[in-house]
Amino acid sequence: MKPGKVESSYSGQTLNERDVIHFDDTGDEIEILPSVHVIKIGGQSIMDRGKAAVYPLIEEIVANKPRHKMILGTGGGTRSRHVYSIAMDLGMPTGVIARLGSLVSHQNAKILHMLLCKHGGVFLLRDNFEHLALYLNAGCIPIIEGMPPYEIYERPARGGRIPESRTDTGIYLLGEVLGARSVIFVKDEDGLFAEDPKKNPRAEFIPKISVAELLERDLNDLMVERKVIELMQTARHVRQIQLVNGLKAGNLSRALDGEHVGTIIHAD
Amino acid sequence: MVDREERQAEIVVEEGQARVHVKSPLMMESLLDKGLIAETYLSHEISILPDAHLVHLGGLSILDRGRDVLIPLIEEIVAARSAHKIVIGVGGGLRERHTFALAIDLGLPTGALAQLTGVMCKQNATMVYYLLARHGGVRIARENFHKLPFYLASGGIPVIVDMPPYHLWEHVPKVGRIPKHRPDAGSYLVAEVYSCRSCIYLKDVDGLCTADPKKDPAATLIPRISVSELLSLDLPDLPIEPAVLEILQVARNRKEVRIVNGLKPGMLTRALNGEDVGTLIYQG
Repeated sequence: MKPGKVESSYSGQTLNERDVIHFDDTGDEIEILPSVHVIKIGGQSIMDRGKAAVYPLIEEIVANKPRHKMILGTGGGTRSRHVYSIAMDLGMPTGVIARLGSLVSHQNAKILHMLLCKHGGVFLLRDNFEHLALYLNAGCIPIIEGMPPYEIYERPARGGRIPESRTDTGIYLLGEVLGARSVIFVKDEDGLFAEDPKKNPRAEFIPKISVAELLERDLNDLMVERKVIELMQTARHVRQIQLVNGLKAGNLSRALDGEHVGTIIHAD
Repeated sequence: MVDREERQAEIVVEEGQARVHVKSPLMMESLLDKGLIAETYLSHEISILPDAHLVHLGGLSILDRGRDVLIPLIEEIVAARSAHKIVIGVGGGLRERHTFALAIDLGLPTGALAQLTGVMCKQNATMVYYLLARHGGVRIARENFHKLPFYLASGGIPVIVDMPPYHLWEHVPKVGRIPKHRPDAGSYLVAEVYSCRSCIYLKDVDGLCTADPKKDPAATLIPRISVSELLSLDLPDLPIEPAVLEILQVARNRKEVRIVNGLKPGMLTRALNGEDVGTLIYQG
């Protein structure tokens, strides 16, 4: 269907997947900001460690500024876990928990902003999305809270209560819609393990895995939100992500340069 | 989940690590551990607004038909207010479709489509608000949802925008680029999270039919159906967004939705009174 020829009828009223053929989807989808890297700074894994983890990482980010355009997104961490626990105890539904969780990643984004201010860090509200190009062209580093904006419109969690779409998902989807060059998750482990390496130090390391294989293995625990893996299946732009250890100097720089330093999860 | 004593607010310094935690049952836990996720499912959920009905006015099916359809419906809503607390949600309609078609032609991604079309619901909600203003209609933004109890208690009729704020963060669909979460899903998610008494969709058909009633005169109305039965029928079209069915299957509070014909006077009132009109789609 071309613009200007919109018809009104029962058929196609709800735009089901079958109706989508009414819309011409054969053309290419544009990449909004194809040169930008979207980087997630972990909450519990990086921010909660304070100076010891955050300062060196900031230095590394700043050092990469001349060569790479970067958008930083923040996770929640231990304060999210605390508010989730209390909210669940009080009987709050998933949508309300999502709303509460969003505020912790908001705090962390503001903290990161203050630390990066002198290097051109700008706090980006979702409503100021249209300023992204301006900030990046001025050599700034936009910092955004990681939670997606769903809040009370978050779907009920399947078999659980904590929202399934949290900060990993928010950052990933931001990268996908921008057609970003890469989406990198900076956490405190070398990458994906078959089990939580904090609980089992001998857990098997997985350097590279496809989405299909990861879904099939159905691991009991994961280093990145399951929702990200699920959404990668239909992605048009960001078909792979990398999980890197931000506690080891140089890892982020190498990942920005396209090197394989942690775990790569790919959809193809 | 945890002893009362353990719940004491406490700051914990992790052994051998420069990391400080706030003590909670989820402290230092991976929130992706399956056992932990399953445990969180067990506890109760509160009902936030159990007296309110969420009534969705279809964009294409109601709003775009103009005064002939909308004015009698507004009168019916106002008449029902003495007996019921009603929150009105409004869809986008034809201009939303046009935006999708234009944006797809220009090569914009799904997230961009989702971000662009909320304003069509806003326009429609604004018009519904002006029609309802003298009867206590009040147009409220998402940021003011926490004032819903006040508006309802003072006899007001809140009007909300139903396009959910998935914006740039909308999930990319398998086929095409039309956002999955649109106004039907938005109003249902509000009804679910607030445990509304009912979620009623006013559309321009009697409910869910075995075929498109406008094309096939032999089509018959399905009065009650579970989501899994409905999916197994594999109907070529539905008068409701498929995302609503997906969400119904994981809902914890409002486990059914009703579709009624907003073109027929009295149907909304009967649905508000709990009568079995139109089609009821339920979890299962």
